[in-house]
Amino acid sequence: MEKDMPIFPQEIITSILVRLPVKSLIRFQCVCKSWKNLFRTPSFIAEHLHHSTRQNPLLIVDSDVSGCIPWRLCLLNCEMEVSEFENTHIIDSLMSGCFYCCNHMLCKMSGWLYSSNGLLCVKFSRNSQDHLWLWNPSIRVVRQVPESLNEPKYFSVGFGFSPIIDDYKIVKFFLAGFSVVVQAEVYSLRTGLWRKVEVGNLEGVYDLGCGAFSWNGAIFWIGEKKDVEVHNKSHLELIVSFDIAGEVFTLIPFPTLNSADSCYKRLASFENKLALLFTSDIENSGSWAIDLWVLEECTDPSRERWSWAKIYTSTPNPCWICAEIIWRNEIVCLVEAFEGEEGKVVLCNLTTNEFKPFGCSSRPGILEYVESLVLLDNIHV
Amino acid sequence: MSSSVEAITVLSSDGDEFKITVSAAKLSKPLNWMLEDVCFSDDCDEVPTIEVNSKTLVKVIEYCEKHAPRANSGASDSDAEELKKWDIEFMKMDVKDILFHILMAANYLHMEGLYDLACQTAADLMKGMTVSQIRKIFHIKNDFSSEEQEQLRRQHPGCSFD
Repeated sequence: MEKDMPIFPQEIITSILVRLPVKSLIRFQCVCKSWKNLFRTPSFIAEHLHHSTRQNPLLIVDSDVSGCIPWRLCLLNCEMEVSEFENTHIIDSLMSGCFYCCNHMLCKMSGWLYSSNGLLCVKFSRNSQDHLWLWNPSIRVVRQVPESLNEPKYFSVGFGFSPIIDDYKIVKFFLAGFSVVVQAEVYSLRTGLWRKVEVGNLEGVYDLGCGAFSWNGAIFWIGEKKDVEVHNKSHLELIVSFDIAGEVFTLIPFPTLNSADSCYKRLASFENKLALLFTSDIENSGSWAIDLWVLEECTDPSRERWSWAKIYTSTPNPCWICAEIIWRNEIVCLVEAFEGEEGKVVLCNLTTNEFKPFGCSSRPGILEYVESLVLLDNIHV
Repeated sequence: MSSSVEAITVLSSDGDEFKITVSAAKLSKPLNWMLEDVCFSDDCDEVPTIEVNSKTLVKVIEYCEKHAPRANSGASDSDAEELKKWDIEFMKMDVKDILFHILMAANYLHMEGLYDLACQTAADLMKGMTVSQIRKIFHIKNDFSSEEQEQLRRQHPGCSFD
């Protein structure tokens, strides 16, 4: 049979290879030198990532209830199959013996593990100093991010990818008392360098620690600002966005909420718009519901630039849930551990309105993930 | 071309004649150009040749006829689901060379949908294969020295040269 095989043009071979899982590609780099080199070219890595994102969007769920290393991460695929997350031992061995900032509330996964476009950014502490690492678990590559220009004891981080400049960047906010942002530096994976960025318009902004979200070439944080104009409130919630390509910060107002203080907030994206997920206890009844808001940007200068619209409210849920992210057509929620019951994960379907559990216990920590060859090209750092 | 023509006749590279409806032929860019350039009325005896063998052309035409109604008018979600299932059945060709010939034909005929489907099916067939099976299919010689093999194995414990 093989004798009848046509000799393939390279173009077709490449079209097939970019659709293979990372595991197969790692094996097939042994086929010949030209394949091994092909898998390391930026264009191949980018095209592979494109297919991987479209076909196999994954979720990482932290199932480690104790909050200590070694990590117990698992993956959820589109068929709703849960599997063990491989290769965590690489990062575990790096961190062994490290003191971990394990104040449970501060140590949510979003606080120290960030995911963007196939790459993870890990923050952990050693000798009460925070360090950053870039990690691609699919190809078992871990790289330490060089020290920044300023080395403060505490900082807040964001991590994201911009398709326009085809680069990953890390944003580090340096915080003064009351977590007020005083300075920021940006690391580019492409250049391997840190540089200072202008934070003039962030004056008075604080508490950016809670869950940086990366989407559409930007990084977003929920923050607060001391409010001098509104007298009945001492602070104002807002969103800080960072355009990864242009390195500019923008402040986006929050939607007007009835019970902003008592609800759980998370940034997400929905139908190609920035979205906010609010989970709140309906009139303190012990029933929890999720509201989904989306942001519209208006280009007409005579009108308000930003407007929010509430487009979805879930059915009430009797458990204490926290909506974390939107994944495909579902809101992924954590059910808090309560009275001896372990925390678990439920998915709220946006079309059917149903809540469905899936077999994985978790403490707060859910990330989007995709298998990729990013960092295999070895051109960085 | 005359609007009265609903189907055209084409020749395979083996010289066999095949009928394909105009709406199905439009899924292929080169065939579409051909439709615009060539006169397909009854008194025109020119039959264009497609450089695809008969066995493969039968399958390509089958795909085009199935997908043409949807490509021309758009489809509901349930149609899309049905078509997806049909695609999976259609690609169940245990003879790999048909699959590879289909790939070559889809590339040659600029048929994006079929090319994408065939590439993914090929990838799914290949993902579990060993390195030596892959070399055999693509006629590739192992050009690594033993030192280079050793080095790769050290870097990526998951890889194997067999």
